[in-house]
Amino acid sequence: MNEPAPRSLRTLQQWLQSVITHPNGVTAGIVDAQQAISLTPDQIESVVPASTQLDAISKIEVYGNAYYARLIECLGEEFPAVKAALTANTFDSFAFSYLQQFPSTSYTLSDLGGNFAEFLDRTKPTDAEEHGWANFLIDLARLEWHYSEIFNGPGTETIDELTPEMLQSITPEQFASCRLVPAPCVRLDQFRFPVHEYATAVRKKKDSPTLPAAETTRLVMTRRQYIVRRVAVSEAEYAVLDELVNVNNNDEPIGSILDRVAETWGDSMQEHLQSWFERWAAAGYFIAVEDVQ
Amino acid sequence: MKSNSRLGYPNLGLGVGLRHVHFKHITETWPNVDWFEIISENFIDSQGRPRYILDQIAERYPVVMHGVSLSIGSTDPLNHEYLLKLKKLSSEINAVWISDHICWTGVAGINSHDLLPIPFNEESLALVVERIKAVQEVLERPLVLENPSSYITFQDSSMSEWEFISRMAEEADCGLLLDVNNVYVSAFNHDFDPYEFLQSLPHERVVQFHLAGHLNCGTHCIDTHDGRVIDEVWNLYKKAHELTGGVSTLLEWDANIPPFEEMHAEVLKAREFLQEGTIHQQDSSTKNAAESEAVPHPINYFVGSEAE
Repeated sequence: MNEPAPRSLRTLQQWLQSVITHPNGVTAGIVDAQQAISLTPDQIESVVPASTQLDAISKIEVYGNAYYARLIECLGEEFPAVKAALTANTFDSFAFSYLQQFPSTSYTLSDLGGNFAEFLDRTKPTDAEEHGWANFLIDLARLEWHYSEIFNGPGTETIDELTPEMLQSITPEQFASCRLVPAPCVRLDQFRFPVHEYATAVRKKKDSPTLPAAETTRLVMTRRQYIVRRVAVSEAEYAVLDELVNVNNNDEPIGSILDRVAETWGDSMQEHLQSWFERWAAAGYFIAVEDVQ
Repeated sequence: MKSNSRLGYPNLGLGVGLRHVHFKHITETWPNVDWFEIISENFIDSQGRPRYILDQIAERYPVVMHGVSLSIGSTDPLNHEYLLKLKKLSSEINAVWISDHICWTGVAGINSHDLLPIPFNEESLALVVERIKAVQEVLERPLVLENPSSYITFQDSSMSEWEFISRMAEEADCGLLLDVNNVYVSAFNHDFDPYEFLQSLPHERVVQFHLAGHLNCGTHCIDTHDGRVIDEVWNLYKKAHELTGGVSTLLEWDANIPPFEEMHAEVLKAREFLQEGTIHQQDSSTKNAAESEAVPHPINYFVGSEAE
């Protein structure tokens, strides 16, 4: 057996990491990692000695087997509805591919699934007939990621929200000079399927929930008392709320936003605006009225 | 009266790891537990329910922070953002101490989320000591580091694990978290005497013990944290207790997690064992590989997942 060349700690770490994360296993990893440490699998004991009961490759495989198993399990817990839709084996296969493209670079596993919806979108089949199914999975992954972010992100539990009474007391002058401050946990997103219904069915552990038919779905998501809430809204309500929450949230007063949105949604808006505001206040979508900068 | 301070850290008694599946039970019953250990990464970014629960628990119990991503043995730079978050949380919950592992978790920007072994030699010792000092400067308190279970050793090692740990602790002036189960697992995997390991440590620096279950695969053991503590590990615990005079003891259970009372009862066996020298348990035999999937450091050790 050839004596190995002296190697630095960094070289050894780069070598071991590339070996245990190799998608084709430890032996293939040793072959591919020869740039870091030049050896063949039968020379492995010049780096990692065997024990009395286990050979060196099998010892390294404890780490190699655990690497993907642990992270795939983590993704499965982050995306239970996607896993249910795909079935476990297929989900694991997607997750395995995902981890090769997006290995963790964070100190927390909470960040691990941040690119999963994008990954599914990037790798979806080109066959048009498959698009609907793929789009459902992509939207479902995006929804579940919203849930995770809202669940662990900032909320309103320890601050005062804008009450319906406070909202009703906004004067015309304030409409012209003030903006609504959205709660930090409010998210709006549009989906091509009613993915929220499917996700809820899975989380309530219903057996094999039916895959829904395509239907444009607009959700407002938030968190109350540490529980993530979501509600489907109409196209008009979504458009108005989206403007108030996202589009121009720093320097445009409420009145100006409503006037602008009314150009598109005038009739629907005028008819429902008061009830919308009451519902938004009750749902805690806004936390304050403040002067526009 | 709890005594036997180590680096000024108190003996907290017999505690358990805080796991999200027990949140409801704990906040409804406020069980009579000496202390809790949290996985730091599950809480340092949380602004939701996990943090809300933790704040309530920290008002009632001593809490210790135990991390899995410090990567003290990595050749990548230390993550100062992460360190500052640790410090902030420890201040906010009044954490009694902060611990992590003598390992590295990744290199070149990647985090494998595993506790990877270090070759025990002069180069790695110098690196680890320097980094512990840097971490302690940021945290403004002695760091406590745990011996991990390991499955490989390196030809590059020039000293034993216990010599490395002893010199590391003395040169960096840090504390030790002695995981007795990990000593057993590594001793089995690398053919060394676990009692020599225990005997050789600087006992005055041991701040805490860990106990846990593991999986014996015949040819090797895996640190699965999925069951009861076996008799051989209890015997090691007794020896470690004698050598150190007794320190804070914590049970880890991270897969197939039982109801809270059952988990708590497992760590309370420590008192029974130290008093009577034996434990009356239904199943004290070594768990074999057919009973469980062999994933070292299971997912609950790394993430407190929650879906509502």
